[in-house]
Amino acid sequence: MKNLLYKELKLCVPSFVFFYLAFSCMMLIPSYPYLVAFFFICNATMYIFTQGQANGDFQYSAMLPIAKRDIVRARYLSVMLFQMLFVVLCTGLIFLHHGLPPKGLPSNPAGIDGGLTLIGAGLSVIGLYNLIGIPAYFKSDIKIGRIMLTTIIGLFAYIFVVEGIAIASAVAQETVPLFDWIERTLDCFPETPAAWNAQIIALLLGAAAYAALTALGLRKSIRNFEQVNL
Amino acid sequence: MNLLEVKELTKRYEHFTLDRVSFSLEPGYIMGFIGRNGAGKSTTIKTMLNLIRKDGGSVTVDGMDFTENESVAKRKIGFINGEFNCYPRSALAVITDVTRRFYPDWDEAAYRGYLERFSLDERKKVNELSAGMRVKYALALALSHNAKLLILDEPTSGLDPVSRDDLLELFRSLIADGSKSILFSTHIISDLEKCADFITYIQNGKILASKDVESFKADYRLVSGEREQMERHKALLIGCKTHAFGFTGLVRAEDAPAFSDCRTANADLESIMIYTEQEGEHEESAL
Repeated sequence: MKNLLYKELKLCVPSFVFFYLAFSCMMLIPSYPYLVAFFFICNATMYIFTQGQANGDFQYSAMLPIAKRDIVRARYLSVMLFQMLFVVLCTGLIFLHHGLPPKGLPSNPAGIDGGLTLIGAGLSVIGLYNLIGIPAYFKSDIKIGRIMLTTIIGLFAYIFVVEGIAIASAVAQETVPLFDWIERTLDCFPETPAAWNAQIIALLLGAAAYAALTALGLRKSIRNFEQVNL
Repeated sequence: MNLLEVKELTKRYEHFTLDRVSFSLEPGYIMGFIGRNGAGKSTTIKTMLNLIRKDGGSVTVDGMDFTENESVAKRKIGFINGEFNCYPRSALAVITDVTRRFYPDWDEAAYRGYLERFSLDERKKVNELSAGMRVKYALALALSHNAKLLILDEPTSGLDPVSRDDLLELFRSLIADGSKSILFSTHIISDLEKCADFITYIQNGKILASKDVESFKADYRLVSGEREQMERHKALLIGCKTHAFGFTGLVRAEDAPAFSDCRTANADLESIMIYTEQEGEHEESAL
């Protein structure tokens, strides 16, 4: 797998894709639906597949002494490495954003606030992409437009729901006790022990969702790719 | 023990079936894999290598079931599928650097030798190479990891006659120690006359014959004579061509005595293929 990962980084991942990591800087914007940044990084990995298709990557890989399913595993691994790099950058920038003046700003009116809950939700967005987006690239007849449309609809529907809950919590905090709890513990930068505890759980749940959705996507992709005639 | 054994390999498409293809190859020999365009040569090779999912049958490489030991079996195989067309904007050195990592038995000295023999410049990008040079690069990669079995799909197409001749000589030298074998498909029958020990002939997805070249050729005779003679023996002719002086046709060796009033000659591979395909066409048109 080490050699396959080397092949992915050396021959398959276009260098311009790394510029997409700069979307992590969106965490520094004062008011923004931050989960959208996680969609952009999903979109960036699409280029690994389209470039790979143009370069005859699957044909080359099929000549190597590896099982067909290992081609899929290696691609997932390289995409996941890229995604994790983005998540780590986002986490660092969220903490940096919190440390920067001005302090005491009101809750993010555009959606979820920067915190561990956001990272957990972001991980679930990426996991969803790994399940609904990537397996479509391991089919015989790749239709890029259809894949993009499905991915955009699927991911944005989820993003709207999560960001919508955050906005509703901010708006109706005074009237709905649940929203008040969300605002004070989940939809904020964690500063109290209660908020830290709740957000660590949210982060772990997001990570578990990412792992489960990615594992399902990998299984689906391997199944798809076994049917492909190279 | 056979180095390669293909048994009942089957792949069904809507309009084409690779029908229980079977053949085997011992170490130390070259097998030519022939057939018309669309006969199933590339489909057979790709199905053997699991690039196309098979519907039935088995492939054994050096005693190992290919499906169950895909990665280990592939290390024993050097495969080229025509010219190298992957990563057109990458330099050969980069592609080789990646490729060599997958082969514990990579022979760098041999690789350098092939680069020199084929006049390949590693600094060049794939899209800067001519079609023939791309074939040569694919060969250099396939030949540099001490593969026991070389499976070459159209390795000589796109090469000039001098390079082709050089390559055929190289093939003979590769199998000289008796441990390696080569299976190669080609349309250039004259290449097979020069180097193949065995022939496997595929027609419409079915193996017509798989045997040593001399036995294969001995199964047929070329006959020629007057048109009236042709009319008399028409039923026994596999295929024939008429011309101003009469006809020339192909018959099975056991039917040759019936043509005692005609001129007979040994058949060459190209004639066998041309006339046999005529028979196939007649059958198709009759259907």
